[in-house]
Amino acid sequence: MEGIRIGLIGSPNSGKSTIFNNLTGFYQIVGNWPGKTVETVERVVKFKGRHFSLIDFPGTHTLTPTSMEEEIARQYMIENRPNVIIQVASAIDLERSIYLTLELIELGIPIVVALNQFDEAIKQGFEIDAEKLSEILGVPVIPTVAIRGEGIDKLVGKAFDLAHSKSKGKMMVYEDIGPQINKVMDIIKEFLPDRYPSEWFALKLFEEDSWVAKKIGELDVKSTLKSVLEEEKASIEKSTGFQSSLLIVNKRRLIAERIVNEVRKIKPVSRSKLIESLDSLSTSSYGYPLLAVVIATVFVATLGVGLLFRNMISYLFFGLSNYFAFNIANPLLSAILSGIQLSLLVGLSFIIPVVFLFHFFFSFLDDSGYLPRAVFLIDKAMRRIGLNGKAFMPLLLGYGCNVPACVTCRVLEGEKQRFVTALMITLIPCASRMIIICGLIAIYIGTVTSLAIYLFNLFVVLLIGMIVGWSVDLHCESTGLVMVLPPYRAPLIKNALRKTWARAKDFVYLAMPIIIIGTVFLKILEIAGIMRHLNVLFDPLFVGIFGLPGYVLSFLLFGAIRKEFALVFLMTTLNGNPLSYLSPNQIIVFTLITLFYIPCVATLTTLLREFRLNRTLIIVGINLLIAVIIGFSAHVIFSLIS
Amino acid sequence: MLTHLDEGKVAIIKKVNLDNHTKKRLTALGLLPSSRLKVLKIAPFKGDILVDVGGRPLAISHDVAEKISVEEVEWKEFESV
Repeated sequence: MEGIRIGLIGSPNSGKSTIFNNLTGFYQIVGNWPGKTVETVERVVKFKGRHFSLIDFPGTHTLTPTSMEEEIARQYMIENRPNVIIQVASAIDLERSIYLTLELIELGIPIVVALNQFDEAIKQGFEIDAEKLSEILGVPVIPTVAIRGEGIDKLVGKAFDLAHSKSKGKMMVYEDIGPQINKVMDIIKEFLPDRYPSEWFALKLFEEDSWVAKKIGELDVKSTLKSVLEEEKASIEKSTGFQSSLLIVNKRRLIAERIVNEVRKIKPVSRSKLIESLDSLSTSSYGYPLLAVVIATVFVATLGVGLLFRNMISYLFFGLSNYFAFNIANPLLSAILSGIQLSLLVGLSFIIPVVFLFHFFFSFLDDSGYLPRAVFLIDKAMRRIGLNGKAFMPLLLGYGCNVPACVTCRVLEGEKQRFVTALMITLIPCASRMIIICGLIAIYIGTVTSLAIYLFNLFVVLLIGMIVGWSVDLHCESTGLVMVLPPYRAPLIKNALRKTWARAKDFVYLAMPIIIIGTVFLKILEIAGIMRHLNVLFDPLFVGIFGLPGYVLSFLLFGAIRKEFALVFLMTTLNGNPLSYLSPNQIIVFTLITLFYIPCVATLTTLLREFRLNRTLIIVGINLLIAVIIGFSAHVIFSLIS
Repeated sequence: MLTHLDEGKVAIIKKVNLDNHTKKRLTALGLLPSSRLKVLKIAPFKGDILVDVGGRPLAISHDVAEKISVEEVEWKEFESV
């Protein structure tokens, strides 16, 4: 039997990512906000002895796309038709889930509905008759609780049963506009390639779907199509009083509403008072100070606890290295050994605590459902830049890592919005740059200064966003925000830990080996005297502009690979004691430059993929320019003060 | 207009004066003529409006809400699901 391809689709917050993790054993980031799966990924999966490929679609409420990610997902679904679709429906948000089911049924692909969050629905007083729902829709409906893995076996079994069948759900939207749609379908059937569902294409023509209209336009269409379509649209408008496109959308909604009334009973339950008042507080005007406190807490806790860990680890490490003290005459061997020792110390004491803590706190916040409330409050302020509240998520994500943040820009609706948001993201200090701020500023200058640097950075990010937004006429494109708020959920420590590991493991597997090799390499360069030549070569430039020694260039070059390397190689080159080589002011100037000067290699690759060469070069250019201006100004200000 | 309602008020949507694309999106989310909503929260500084439509909270930005004309109805008539 040929391999089965299963599509996984569902609305944001339906638990789709959790089901994905259940099936694949991979860990994909699960969060309590819309738009995490932004790429359509197809991968081969082995689940309890069954092999299949699983196509993970981005979370969407409807197959009428409004953003680039939804458009990509839908095209993928039409062009690379899966054998069967698993729709993850939220039992808490039944009506909107059924809306999506109706749209999926129209595609003519066999469907299994996972009625997920079934336990939470019961808790909220919803009693849903899954069997009756299945009967009405004409597709299997399996109640699931993805968090505990309940119902997943049955779900996959059903999907396999249906994969090679011609089973279709009931096309309910057809009622009373069937004749008109059939007329158009008969015309397009003749020239539409077999892999396209002609019924669906006809329906979408009535819905005035731009992608479908374009696709049909590319084909060698009979000239009668246009006139027949217009005629039939007019006939619908005449008989119903509605424009055909809105009529169809409305019909689906009414059908969904009717079905919900038939299959769901509601028992009154009282909501938790605590959650109710938290919900109310976080969306009121007190929500602004609350947001500031929440974000400040994440940073202060990360920096504070990170420093504590760092002291403990380095104390332990120095104790150990005294114990194993060695004296080696061979300069090369000694360089290699001291390089390994220093890189391990710096890696373990800075990177691991800061990165893991930040991601842990952030994951906790992410799971709680608080962040969309912040979007609600902040939407208005974002419009001043010409962005909308949705851009808040990618920007916040940028504090963790710029790479997923830039990919998440796809949830934004316009080309300019995506570009400006991505530019702002590259200026945001990710966890790697947080290591630099923590390792240089918090330790050698002071915690208050490190927080001041964060605020200054935020100011620059907003300013650049405003200037660039204004220069590309961002306001013209700006579309209003309409967003479903997910319910608050108590975050589970276990989930936060898994997510932290998923987000931070690169620092262990990818960064540590490079740090060790790079440090040894720099140490060898040092004893070979090459560092001195570098100094002579670049001293005039760096001393003149930034008041920094020329050798910092090598740190910046390494920092372009991964930002934290700039700190690591500075520390290992300066023998873990930067203050004996650089003044506090020089340290501040150096840190400011590393914050802005260039997106790291991984971010650059992502930008190239998302925005092509020209725009990536513009972003890099702006980054460099800002770094030079700020580094130079800081140097001038410091020399004027002293 | 939706922007004229105070927090806690209930209304029926009369008309949505937006482009077809946005209208389709709103319709799919339950915001269409004849549907009932309750204003839960209004973000400060003429910010977003949080409404309850069919039992689920929906955040709508001010400029979209401005294009939705509504008619206020009595509180009793609203049954949140």
